[in-house]
Amino acid sequence: MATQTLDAIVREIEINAPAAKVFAALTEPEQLVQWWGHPGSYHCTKMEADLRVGGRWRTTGESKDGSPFSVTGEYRVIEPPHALEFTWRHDWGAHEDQIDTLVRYDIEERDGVTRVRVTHSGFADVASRDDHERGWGTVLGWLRGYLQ
Amino acid sequence: MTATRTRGAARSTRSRRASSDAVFKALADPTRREILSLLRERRRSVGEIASNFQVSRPAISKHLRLLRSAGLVVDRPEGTARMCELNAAPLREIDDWLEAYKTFWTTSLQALKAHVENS
Repeated sequence: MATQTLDAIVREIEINAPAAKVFAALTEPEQLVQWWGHPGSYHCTKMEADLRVGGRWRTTGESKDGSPFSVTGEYRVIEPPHALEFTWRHDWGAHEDQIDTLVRYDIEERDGVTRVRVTHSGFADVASRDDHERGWGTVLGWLRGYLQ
Repeated sequence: MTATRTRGAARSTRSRRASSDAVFKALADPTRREILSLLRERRRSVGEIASNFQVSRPAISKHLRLLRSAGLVVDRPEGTARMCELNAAPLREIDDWLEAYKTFWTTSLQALKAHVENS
């Protein structure tokens, strides 16, 4: 199940495990390096995390061709096991793509099934940072409707 | 999305990103958004657009130039008048830019699920 707007990417998945276990996999470095990545394409080799609001996190890894990459950020919300929010900046791609965006995990357990929703946002705010104007997400929304 | 694929995509879409930036910039102003709202209803002349605002007509013309350069507004001659028309197609570029992130998060959640359920 997936929904989206132009300024945010939203993805959801259901996991057959308790919320606490999911939260641990998202925050414990020794666990994160086990799942974050893809065999044969890229993999995460190291994570450092200062798990407190305002604390920094950093993951490093190798892409398919062996070149290193890293993603860094700062924790903004830590509410185990329901919510985790942090800034995100990767070091690959064009220079103008290397910007601070925001990632949020919402974790909800019901009848033994945990629904995890990830929201990656802030692209538009960054792209319009010279102006600092907000509220045009609405315009994007209806223009998108107009397009379809 | 992998780091490798993102690098490749970034190279091949650099010029497209430049035009996406123009679209973002064009939208990052309340007057320009209002102009687009007016044009969403129907095409209008520059004078008609300007009559909806307190600011001067040259100021509106300047906003329209920016919207045109971003490709969001196109001119269409109609009799002796020049009519402005909305063109929403450039917004697709912004959508494409986000596509790599969508794939990335879908893949990441699947990996998280496999890890948590099997450990």
